[in-house]
Amino acid sequence: MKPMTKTLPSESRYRWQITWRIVTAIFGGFALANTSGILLTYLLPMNKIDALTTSMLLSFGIYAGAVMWVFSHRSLFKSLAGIWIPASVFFAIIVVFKLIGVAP
Amino acid sequence: MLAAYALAYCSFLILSMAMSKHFQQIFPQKKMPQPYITLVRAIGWALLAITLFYCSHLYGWATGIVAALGLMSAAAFVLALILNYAPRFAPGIAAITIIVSVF
Amino acid sequence: MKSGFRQSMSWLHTWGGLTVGWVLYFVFLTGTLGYFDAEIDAWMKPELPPETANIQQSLSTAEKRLHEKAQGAERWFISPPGDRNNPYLRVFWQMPGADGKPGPRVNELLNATTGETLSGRATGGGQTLYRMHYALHYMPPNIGYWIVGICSMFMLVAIITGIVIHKKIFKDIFTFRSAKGQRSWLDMHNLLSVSALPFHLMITYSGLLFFVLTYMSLIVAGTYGFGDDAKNNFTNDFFSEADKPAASGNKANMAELSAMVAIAESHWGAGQVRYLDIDYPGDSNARVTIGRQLDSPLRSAPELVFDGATGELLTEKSAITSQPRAVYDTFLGLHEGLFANIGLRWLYFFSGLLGTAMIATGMLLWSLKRRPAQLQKAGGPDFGYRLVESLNLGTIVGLPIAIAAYFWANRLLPVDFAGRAQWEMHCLFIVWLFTLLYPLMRSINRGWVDMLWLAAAAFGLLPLLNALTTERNLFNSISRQDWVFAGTDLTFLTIGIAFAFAAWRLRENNKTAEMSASAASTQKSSREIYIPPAATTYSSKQHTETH
Repeated sequence: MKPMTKTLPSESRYRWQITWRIVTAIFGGFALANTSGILLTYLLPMNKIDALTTSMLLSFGIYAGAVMWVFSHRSLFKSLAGIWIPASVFFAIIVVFKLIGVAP
Repeated sequence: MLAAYALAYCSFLILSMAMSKHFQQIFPQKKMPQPYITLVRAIGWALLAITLFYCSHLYGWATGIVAALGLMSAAAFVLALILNYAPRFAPGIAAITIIVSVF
Repeated sequence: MKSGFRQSMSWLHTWGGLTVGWVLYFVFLTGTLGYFDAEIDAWMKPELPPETANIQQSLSTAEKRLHEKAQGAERWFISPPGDRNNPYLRVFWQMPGADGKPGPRVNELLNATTGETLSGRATGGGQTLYRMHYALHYMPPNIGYWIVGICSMFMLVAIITGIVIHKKIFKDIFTFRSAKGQRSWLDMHNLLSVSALPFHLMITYSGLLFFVLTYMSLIVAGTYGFGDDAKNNFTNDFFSEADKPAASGNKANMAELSAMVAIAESHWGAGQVRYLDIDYPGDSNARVTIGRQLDSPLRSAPELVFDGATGELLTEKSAITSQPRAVYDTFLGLHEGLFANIGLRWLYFFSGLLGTAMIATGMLLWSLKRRPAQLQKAGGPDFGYRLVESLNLGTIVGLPIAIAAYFWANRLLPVDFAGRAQWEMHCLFIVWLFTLLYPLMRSINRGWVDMLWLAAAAFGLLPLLNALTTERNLFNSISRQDWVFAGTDLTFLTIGIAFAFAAWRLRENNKTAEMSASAASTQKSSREIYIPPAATTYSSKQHTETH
């Protein structure tokens, strides 16, 4: 807690932590919401437009969940990895799906 | 709509009476006997359900739920203010609301 | 991040809320006024008499006008007058565009009885005020959508974290304790948030959904790809427009619209026709779509599609096309509340005010919590702290004053003044700028009292201004049973009284605080102790009653 009583290096480390987390929450959360949304559209057992509508409805929930995840963990690595890794994996899967022609 | 509001207000009033801190605000001299608390709470929840059914009866299901939630928000807010500023009048205000809504 | 989950969420709630609080306050307040947009429209055009024409008369007026002005248009749209959402006859047309671009679009309000376009003073009305809550002002709409969208996302996170950090959400649901300083403000913030929680969640989430196609356009692109073709395919699927035929290019006389309306009314009942949407009028492939009034939160309504040339009923479209689509439409409908009758409309308005007050109390809590420590600082409070304090005052009380200025401008600017509608809005923002600067010139306690009095006068005197500048004063309105006008005047008066009450209470509190401060000033220099308005002097009575 009390950043006042800490020494200066830890104060600046705290600031860097916050910066990373904010960037991850805003952009990483957005990336995760979009990639998981696209993937859901491919996977949901409905017709194309209904699957799309459903994943758009869910996307803001995923985004909000991602933001909370980023700020809920003590470990900076865990917070950042928990967003960027799934986002990258989802992105890779989408690209593969597109390449082999599974996705529309 | 006023009748539905009266219902919502009464259900919250009864629910608040099942909480010892609010019961004491309303009746400073008395104490709610323990076995009654569950009963009172059950009546409160039942009345809340009746509010929902009554609203659906008035406006149909979809609009009824919206109306019921809106009325419950208003009733909870008003009740909390009354419990702070004039706790002893809380039951009286319920009675007045019911009478006004009937006429 | 912090030691525990709840602490981390509390940090996120506090700082996320503070970052966008002022924009959210603006969005919530102007959006709340939007629930009475049509009523404000009426108040701001006092010259216009209420429309009484029936639907057949309105139809022939609209048809005459459209034949006159919009021959060869791609699309006509007629919304007949009658209910609260459409007090006047409105026609719209779109001309065909050249090389892929959409043609010019025209919107007109008509007097259904005489067929003249409705004049009345130029004004932004309730619509411009309401439009600002999602598109802001003085910027391209797209930028406004994004700013409001980002802030709404913060709001969604703030609501969820708020639920997580509220330890006794059910136990404390009816708890408000006045005269306890910061504790009272936290109680009030919790009460405002929890009592209308369903509304707060619904309005924030559905607000995001309105522009989901903008914010989450990548999800659409993931399935449909990029480019104009992809966009068209998606639009056809999403708005199920694929089954509409294209124009044939052969001219044909239009069948009687009134006959189609008669068929629609026999299906749904009299007064149930909300709009007529006519594709390719005058073409042999013309289609007339008639939509029903909204009577539930579902924003889509059943439609009847007619062949425009023969007048034959082709299809009946049900309001629900698919489950996910129905969920989407229901959220949009819940947000707009177009289906709400007058009682429900007031509940919407009240819930909106609770939300606005929730944001205001949240921002005040931030500064109240830090005030004691800031006052102890050797060189006076930090710049950041003073900025927040001033922005709070300049927004929480300043914005309502600025909105009142918008109404004052409507009555005081000359009726024949050219840039009148724009200047109404300029007045709003000029006054807001002054109220934002004012706290910098005055001590914060005095600033609050002054501005609350100003807000009280600005709203409380509006009915008087209305009486002096129009024939439709409060007494006339009541005796003519013109409840739109009387209701608006009375609402202004009520808001004025509420502000006056707050100003008076705060001044009394400041006095008491000054007295107790001077009594204790032998040791410390007498800095004013700020006691906010909710912390009142009911305490003594309260104590004897509760203990």
